[in-house]
Amino acid sequence: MAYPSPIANLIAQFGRLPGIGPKTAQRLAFHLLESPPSEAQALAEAILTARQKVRFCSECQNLTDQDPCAVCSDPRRDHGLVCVVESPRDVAAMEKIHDYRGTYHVLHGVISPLDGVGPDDLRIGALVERVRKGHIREVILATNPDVEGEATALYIQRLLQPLGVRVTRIARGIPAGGDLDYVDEVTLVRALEGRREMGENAPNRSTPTGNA
Amino acid sequence: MIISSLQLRDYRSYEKLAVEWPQGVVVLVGRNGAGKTNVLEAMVLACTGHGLGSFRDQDAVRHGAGGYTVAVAGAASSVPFNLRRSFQLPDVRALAAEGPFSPPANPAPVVTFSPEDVYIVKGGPGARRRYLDELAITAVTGYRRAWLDYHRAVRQRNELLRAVRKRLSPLADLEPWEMQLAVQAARVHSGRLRVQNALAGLVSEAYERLAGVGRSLQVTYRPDIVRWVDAGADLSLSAAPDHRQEHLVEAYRRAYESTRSRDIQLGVTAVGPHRDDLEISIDGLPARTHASQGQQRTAALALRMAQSMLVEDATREQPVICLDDVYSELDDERRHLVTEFLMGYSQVFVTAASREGLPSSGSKPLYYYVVEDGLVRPLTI
Repeated sequence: MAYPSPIANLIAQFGRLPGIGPKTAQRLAFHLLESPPSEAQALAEAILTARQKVRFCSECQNLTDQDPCAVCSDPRRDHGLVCVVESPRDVAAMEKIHDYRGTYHVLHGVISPLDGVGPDDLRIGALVERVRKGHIREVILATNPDVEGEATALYIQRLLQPLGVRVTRIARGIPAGGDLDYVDEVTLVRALEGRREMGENAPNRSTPTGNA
Repeated sequence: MIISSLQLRDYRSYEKLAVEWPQGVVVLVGRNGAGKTNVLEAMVLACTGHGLGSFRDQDAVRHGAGGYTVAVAGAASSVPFNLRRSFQLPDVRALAAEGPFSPPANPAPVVTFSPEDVYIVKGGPGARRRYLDELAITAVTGYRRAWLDYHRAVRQRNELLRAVRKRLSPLADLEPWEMQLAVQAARVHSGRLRVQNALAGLVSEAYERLAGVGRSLQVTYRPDIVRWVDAGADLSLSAAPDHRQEHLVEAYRRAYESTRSRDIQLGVTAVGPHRDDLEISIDGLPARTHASQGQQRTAALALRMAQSMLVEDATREQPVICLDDVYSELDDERRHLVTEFLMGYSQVFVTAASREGLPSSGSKPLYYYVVEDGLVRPLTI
């Protein structure tokens, strides 16, 4: 059976969202049609407001409703420290630890030629601009430890090196408080690769996180 | 490990089958098409989640049925287990396990031999790489991850090479991918080298026991990268307790750098572990070109037996051995040696077209089963 065109259109719009199949799109559409008009109004307004108010922070490129964003405009933050992440969700993850007091830079993706994503499609140019201004002491590369994340980190490191900024990469290995015998074997092997010197002369003894 | 029983429902030629197995060497005898290999395959499938050769679930469903179930019961390190795999048309798979294993991540150790394995010896390098990889995945921690990451990085670089050729991307964009490629290539390289080192002694031991004293089989890892580095460059394993071998990473990084302009023209990555080979030689001569069919089959069998020893070392569990049609093309002398060799295992399944020319016993008894008309029954002599 063909639906009247407003219903068909609504179903089609839901169907374009990620993770929504035709059946779910139909269920959502009918739920809205069967609920009070105020509910539909509220949803429509929420979507429009979010779309209109949320934009990219001109500093860190994170999604924000004020520019610069809450993190970038916070004077208690260490603006000499920038943590580079793939997505806004990664910022949320980092913020959960409450321990990181630096700022962020969101790339909105990783370099992946197979997906047609090159460096110019990411917010890498904006990062270089920030570093060039000269207030930044250290850039922490916190892209995911997969093939694309590593290649992206390497790419950025090569770009930033000549600018004289300290570039670091997040460590990977055994989870804190973890039991060695519960850690999966690949993680264990990689943790062994990333082992560090201990004692007085260890080169990696202090890694400032801006919370001092 | 021991498999004590097998149950089939609607699997290939079998509507229903339930059979109990003894320990030791079990020989399944039956005419061509009687369903011997199906029995073997069902056990491999239940234990590992993989069939033999180019297996497809939908092809394994008995004609006219809606799905199949294969189930085995057994014991590993004296701990009993039950493994079951079922498939419903059009496309629903299920694996279930009780006991020490949770397949398919940690499958029950089974080593198979099939007539096609002769192509490891006489075919192209692809078959030998697959053999090496199969072993490395079992024996080297993190190998599978490195192998997947390496091939992903190759595809990324190939895509970028074509973009650079079309001047859509600058040359400098290649560098981070080549570094990633080098890191993963070094991991794959060192994994394969580790396997070769562990395998060399096992292979020659297995071959001597199968082919007779004084015969020798050698395997040598031939990494593709030697074509691209200076003679005398160090490509061996360093003693560092990890898989990140800095000198190998550096060698690969240089190789990718030096082939870059050629690779851009061709649009593919020419150098790397995806071009490696494992050289196999019998009595000092290349087995691929200088060995008889019988020698090649014995060599292939020796490679599988060496694999079983490696699996045993890695999992601390003696694998069940499943051999499809191992006796054909072997003379009486070798049949005897093969049988004696197999008696060293706690359980072995072998298929054969006829009992003729097969030993009725060796230093231990052999258990003959007849496969015909959809039934498997012990043969009383």
